[in-house]
Amino acid sequence: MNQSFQEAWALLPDYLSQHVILSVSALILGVAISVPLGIVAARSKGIGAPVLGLVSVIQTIPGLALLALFYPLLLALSSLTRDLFGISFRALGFLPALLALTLYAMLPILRNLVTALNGLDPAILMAAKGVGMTPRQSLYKVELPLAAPQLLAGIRTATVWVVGITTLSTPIGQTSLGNYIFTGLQTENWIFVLFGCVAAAALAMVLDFLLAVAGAALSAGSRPRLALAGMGLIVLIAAALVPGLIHPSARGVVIGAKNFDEQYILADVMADRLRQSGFAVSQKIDLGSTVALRALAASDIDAYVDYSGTLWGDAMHRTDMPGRQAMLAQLKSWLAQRHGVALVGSLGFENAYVFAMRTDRAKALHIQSLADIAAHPDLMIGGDFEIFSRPEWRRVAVAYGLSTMRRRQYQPDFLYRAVMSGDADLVSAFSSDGRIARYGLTILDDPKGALPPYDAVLLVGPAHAHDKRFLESLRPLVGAIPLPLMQQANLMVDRDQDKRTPGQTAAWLEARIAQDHPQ
Amino acid sequence: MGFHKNLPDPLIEIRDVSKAYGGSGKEGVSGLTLTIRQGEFLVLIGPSGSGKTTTLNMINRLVEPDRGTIWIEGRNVAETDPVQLRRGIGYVFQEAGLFPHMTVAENIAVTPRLLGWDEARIQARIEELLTLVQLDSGAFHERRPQRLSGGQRQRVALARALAVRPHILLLDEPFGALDPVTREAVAADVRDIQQSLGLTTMMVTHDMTEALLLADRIAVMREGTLVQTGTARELVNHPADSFVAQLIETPRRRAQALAKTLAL
Repeated sequence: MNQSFQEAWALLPDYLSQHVILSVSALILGVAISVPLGIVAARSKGIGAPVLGLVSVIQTIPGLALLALFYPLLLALSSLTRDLFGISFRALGFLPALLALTLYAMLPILRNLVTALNGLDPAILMAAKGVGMTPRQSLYKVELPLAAPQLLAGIRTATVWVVGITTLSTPIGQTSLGNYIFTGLQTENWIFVLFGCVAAAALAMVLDFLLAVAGAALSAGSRPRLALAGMGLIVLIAAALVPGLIHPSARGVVIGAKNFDEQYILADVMADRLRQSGFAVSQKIDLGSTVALRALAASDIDAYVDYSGTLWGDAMHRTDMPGRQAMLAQLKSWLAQRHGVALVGSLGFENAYVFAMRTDRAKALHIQSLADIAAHPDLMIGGDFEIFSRPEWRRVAVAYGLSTMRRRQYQPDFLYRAVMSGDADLVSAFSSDGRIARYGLTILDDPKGALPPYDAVLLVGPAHAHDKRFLESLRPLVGAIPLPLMQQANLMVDRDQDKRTPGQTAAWLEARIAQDHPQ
Repeated sequence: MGFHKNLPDPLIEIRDVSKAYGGSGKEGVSGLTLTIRQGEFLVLIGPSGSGKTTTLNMINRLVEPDRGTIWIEGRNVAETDPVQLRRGIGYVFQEAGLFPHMTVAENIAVTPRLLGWDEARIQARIEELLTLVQLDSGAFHERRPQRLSGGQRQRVALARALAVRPHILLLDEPFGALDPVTREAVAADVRDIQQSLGLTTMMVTHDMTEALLLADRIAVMREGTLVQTGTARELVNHPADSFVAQLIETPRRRAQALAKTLAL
């Protein structure tokens, strides 16, 4: 526990810095857009109503979805500008997060400003005109100053929202305090989750407090207090920029990881090996499952581990099942031709979709394989967020007649809890997960071969697909990690007692690989 | 502002001016003709909705007439720049219309700043005006309007209206919100200042007592038209119709009732 805390503390400068930079940028951009827009909207009902309506609708889109939507949007835009002007930009990370958060910041600012401007005393506006102000002078000298307190209240609301929602930018590849939360949720490291929440809340409160002081100073006309609040904000932002200056953004090569333990461990192993070969390495973790390949193709990341069945279904959109070796061969040539991505090889284990039951329950119901499930129509199946919309499930459902089965979805880590507690009778699981053995779950056979193979494969992006030194430093991993070894490594991170961090586990795994495959 | 020299007489001339508001409860004006001489204090009186404020607001183009012309010092106001026109005319609004986010000094300095006066001149003028409206600079200079009494607000509004030494002063029910004692004191001061500065003044009110006390000449309006103009004596002696007679009777009736009560 203490160790988790120390680890979290060590990551704070980087995470907090990136979080502050992103949140503050989005807020500044939000204010810069909303204030002129609000002025126009307040003066013209024809513009005001649709603009406010649109911004309100945007607000109803869940934060994670809005952030996720900006990634493919920017990707398409980037390829368009590349074709038209030869300019492409990074569609992952900062930019999509910035745009989505800016949209979020807009509603409270815009709505408060429009309400304030429309609510001004007509007698005061008449007086402004009467003393000889032009419309512009009336706006700057009278209307905006009088609307300022409400505008500031809107900015404060936006600040609290944006600082909170910034944590959701982690899955689209932008480091933030959300990294604590997403990583913590995956590794059941509640210290991390709590640390992330507290840090984000504290940041929101500090920013809100400084803005409140600025607002009070503004309405009291107190220059010293206003200066103090301004100084506080500047110091905070400057402090946030420091880690970026100390570690200049020598991006080096970027290792990607999806959002689960195995991926964190393997990314650490790859990063270590590349460092030993003299590369400067950074990591982008917690990428969405399908975001990862696009990020690799776009060179936002340079290498990561994916799974053959996932690529086959999600990227190639294939539903046929040609067999393990043929699938790998076709994947390899498709990846090279389509994306310039090198499939270096299989690591030696499979992380397949399987279905698991409590052993006592399986025995009681005489269930050994998926074929036995249909006889028990009242069973409840638990799945992760994607399984029921994946082709694998459709194939299983058709092959074994499970289409009408009752379903529930869980955050992956809670699946095991659900099956152990009886909330679900059987659950989807991953074959390399160490917890299958730990909880003594029975894996149901797949006699009809409805589930494809999921060999862990090492992928390298276009920039290094022909980089000998890069490829050679990773190649020793090919075929070096058998299933039991990976399960053991995963369990070290997942278990509740004697829990290890992914970094520690990676070191352990490397030692085991070196021991098994002396070079 | 070239209209400050060789002032002709009349100073403000309203010729056959009309303004209609479609349907709403706003006060329209139809075919109004009225002249105000230099240095004259003219009070425009009538019940609410009779078009008094609309008439006043057409003089500095806060309201544009549908028909007719208004001349100030020989110039057609429709051909002047409305912003420049307003800066050259003092205006005291109903319930003062002070800017709540500005101090007393800042309120007074609004028009001088718009005209780009230098700061020393502005500061000197603020002191001069605070003295003129009998407010102590030390106590009021930095005060915000919400910390002023009604009478103090009207004094500041008057100072603001006079800041750039206009020749014309427009007052829209300036004493309406004041208690009777304050009203009398402020009204008396307004009259003194008006006379000492020789301001051509047009004031809107619905209170005949106020009109009788302040006005050189009274113009009575009803439903957007001018019913009668004349001095207080002319109106009392020769009311144009029963409406004017009734209007002029009100203060007299009150005075008689009061005398009767006191005599008891």
